[in-house]
Amino acid sequence: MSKQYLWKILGLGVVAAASLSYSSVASAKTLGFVVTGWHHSGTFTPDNKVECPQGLGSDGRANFKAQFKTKEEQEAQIKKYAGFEMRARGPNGEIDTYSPELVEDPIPFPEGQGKISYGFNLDGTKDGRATDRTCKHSKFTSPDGETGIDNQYYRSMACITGMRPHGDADAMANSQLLTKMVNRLVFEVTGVDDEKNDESVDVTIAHGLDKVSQGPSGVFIPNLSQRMDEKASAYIFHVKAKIVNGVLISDEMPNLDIAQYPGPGDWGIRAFMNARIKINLKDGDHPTAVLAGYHDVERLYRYWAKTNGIHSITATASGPSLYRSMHRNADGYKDPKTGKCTAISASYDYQLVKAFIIRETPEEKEISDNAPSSANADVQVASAKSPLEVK
Amino acid sequence: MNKASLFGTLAVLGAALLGTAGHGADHVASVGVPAARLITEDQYVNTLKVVFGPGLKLAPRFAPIPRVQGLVAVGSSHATMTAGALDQFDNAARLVADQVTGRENRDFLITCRPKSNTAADDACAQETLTRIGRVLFRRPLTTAETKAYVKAANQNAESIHDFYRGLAVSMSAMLIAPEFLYVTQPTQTVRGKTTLTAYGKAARLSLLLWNSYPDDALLNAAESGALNTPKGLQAQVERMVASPRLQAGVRNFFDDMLVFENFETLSKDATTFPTFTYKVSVDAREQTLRTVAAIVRDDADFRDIFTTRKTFLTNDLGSIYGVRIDKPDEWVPYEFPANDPHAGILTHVSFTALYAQPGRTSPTRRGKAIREIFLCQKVPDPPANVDFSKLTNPDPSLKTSRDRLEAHRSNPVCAGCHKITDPMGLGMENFDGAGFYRAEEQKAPIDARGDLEGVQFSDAVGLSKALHDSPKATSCLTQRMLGYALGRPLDSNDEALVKSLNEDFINSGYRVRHLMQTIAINDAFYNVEDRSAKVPTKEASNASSSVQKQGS
Repeated sequence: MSKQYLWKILGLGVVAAASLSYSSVASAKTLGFVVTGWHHSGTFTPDNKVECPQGLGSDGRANFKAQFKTKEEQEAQIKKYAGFEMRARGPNGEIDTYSPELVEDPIPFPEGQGKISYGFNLDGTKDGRATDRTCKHSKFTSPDGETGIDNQYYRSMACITGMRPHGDADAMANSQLLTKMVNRLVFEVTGVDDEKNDESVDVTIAHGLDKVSQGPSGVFIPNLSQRMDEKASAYIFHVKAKIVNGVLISDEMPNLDIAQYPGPGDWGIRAFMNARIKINLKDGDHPTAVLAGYHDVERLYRYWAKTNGIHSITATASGPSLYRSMHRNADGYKDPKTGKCTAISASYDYQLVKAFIIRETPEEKEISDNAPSSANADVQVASAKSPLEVK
Repeated sequence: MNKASLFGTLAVLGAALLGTAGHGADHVASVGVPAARLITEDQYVNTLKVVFGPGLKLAPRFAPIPRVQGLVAVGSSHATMTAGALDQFDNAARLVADQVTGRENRDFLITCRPKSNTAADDACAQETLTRIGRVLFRRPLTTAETKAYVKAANQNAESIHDFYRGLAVSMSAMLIAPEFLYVTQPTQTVRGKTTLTAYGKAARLSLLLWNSYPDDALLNAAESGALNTPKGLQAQVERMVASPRLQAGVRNFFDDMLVFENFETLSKDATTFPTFTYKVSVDAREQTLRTVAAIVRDDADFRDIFTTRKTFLTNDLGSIYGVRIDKPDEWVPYEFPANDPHAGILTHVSFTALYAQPGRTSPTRRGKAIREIFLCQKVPDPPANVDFSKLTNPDPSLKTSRDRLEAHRSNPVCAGCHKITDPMGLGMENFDGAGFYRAEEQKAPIDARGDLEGVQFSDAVGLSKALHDSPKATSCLTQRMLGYALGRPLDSNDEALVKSLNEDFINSGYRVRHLMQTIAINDAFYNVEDRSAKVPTKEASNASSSVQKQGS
């Protein structure tokens, strides 16, 4: 029996139980949250020395100058591929970001050495040893002492200046989170009988339609109402969860697609496999959360390339190095034919603010059910499975 | 005439019209001659939108008008004109005239067409200025006035080769003329009795019911003499009360009575109340006005303003009340549940946040506001040498405001006044300084018991119910409404009228529309007499004026 089919049956059971026990369901609470910020999980120190002892990475421009060593060579390349500045580094002038496999960066690429990170144990091993489905990798320990955490993407991005917390790309993504509606992400938790311990609650992850507001000192205002974008149904994901000592921990979502407009470029889908979420409900009106899962490496790179990557100079990143590093650190979805992993574990720290999540009225739902939605059309493309995904 | 000399002339004119040159806000209850009222910002906007339509972009900022006997409407008859204040009127006038005569609007706001855009056109200038002047001056222009304004328009049109610019000059002049800025009280004496003329009646009536200058129909009724007949007056009052524009009058009265202009300077400590925004403050004022206006619109019992659980909310207000708003980008009607601590306007953010310190509550301010606003009682200002140390730097073992105030009251100098404010204000301690509900302060349970005029209550809902049932609150409303209508301080000569109106108000089921209508058709509303020998009312003699100096 597939996991999805099992969930459907369980879902029917929940509905049946609800209809038999109306009073208990009616007394259950609903919690709502809106995402107000996010960063890559991991160790990031102010002087980089712990996680990047060899220094931070070099961008495409620095690699161009290292690749074409003399001034004459550089000028000739720039002249030959006018309009692409220092990005045409492939054998036939291919752009480094878009054809990373054709470009070899001459400058060594530093990878993150930190050992502390929030996240989940995604592969189920304590030590990150290779299994039939995973590749050998190092594990992290959370600041709370939880061991066995997987976050290999951190290795690849930790020493890229712009992607580190408050780096240019990171800051832009957080800024756009507030200004671009496509980035507004909401979590709705229903069926909460006890916010401290509850064996079963339902979590819905979706996009929101309303602004998030800040007070004069920058604090996000809690308890505003936020409409869920139910027209974009392909962006709505449901998962069961439990609450243990005030921490909500979800089951695994086979797929989770989050549409984001994180930078100055195009918008894209940050696609997760085997995703899980953890929300610290004890944090009051401004809880923290962790979202983790596997990213298909090729798909994640394409997402990066069309969002931050096209401005890799601002992000101080070089696509070819990042691409190779991601493949090198891939730890999940091993291809049985090649023995190489095709997906990389990743973890993200989220900041949330409490909100009332508003669902469509029956009248609004009828309209959205009958109207073609451009958002859904986008999602049809975005939800297509990567050909590299291992079933 | 240069600007400085124009200002001087107008200031003198204004003062002469007022008959109060040199009178500050503290000189209240002795009005030697019928007072002239200075136009307020809202009246300015409402009137110009009647003349030129709602599309006019207006955001005038005029000098604040002093509050007298609890009302700006009364203070407006004591406002003096300074050069700085006139400058603000002048700026607003130019902006209005530029919009009206500008290329975008002139074709539909100016009904005639000049023969040439680059030359004077006597007929078109006269038609335009006569029509506008009739509404602005609340009467037809005199022949001399018409000639002067048209002449000025023509002269300027010829000298700058632009008909519309010439027209704009005269229009600006009208908008800073004393006849527009001040609502005077033109009188007539019939059989030995001095009353307002029909045009004077029209102005007073329109300010009461619509907070605006008269419209065309009301001016026509004045012109025909119908307004001088009981039947004609009744017809106009009924028309105006039935109009949606009554809401503007009702909202302005309550905005004035509730001292809501203080919202313009309201600020909260961003560290203590990090989520209290300017938007919350704007919406809080509007929430209460919408709530009160709905009660009047529905012709319900006025006293419901103290107890109603029905209100209107926005998303930003929902964050303070902890209420989900199904349409986050709209104002939505909302009813608090029966067991909710919110009931009536005393529990609105408008009241709880406005009457508090920037970083904490203030039972004293809240109690003082209840006494002065809703019971028409004057609470003396704190003595200059009062020692606030027990409040501002309290003993940490004193967890709640009640504890700290009790310590503060141990000083007998302070105790006298606090006895009349704190028992009411402490009833609202479940609402912090930004209006959030709280059951505890510094982890100590809040005791919100108190009493109002001998009626015991246990919380803000009980306090509101006590206010609802208080005959003094009803009579205060009547007193405020009459002062608002007359635009002058009440004195001993008005006591019988207040009493009679109050009885009628109670018999009507406490309906505000009925009260406004009754005042509007009452002969006394239009009487004008020399009140210099009259004795001020008790409240007026207590020190009736000005901006409230609030204690802790």
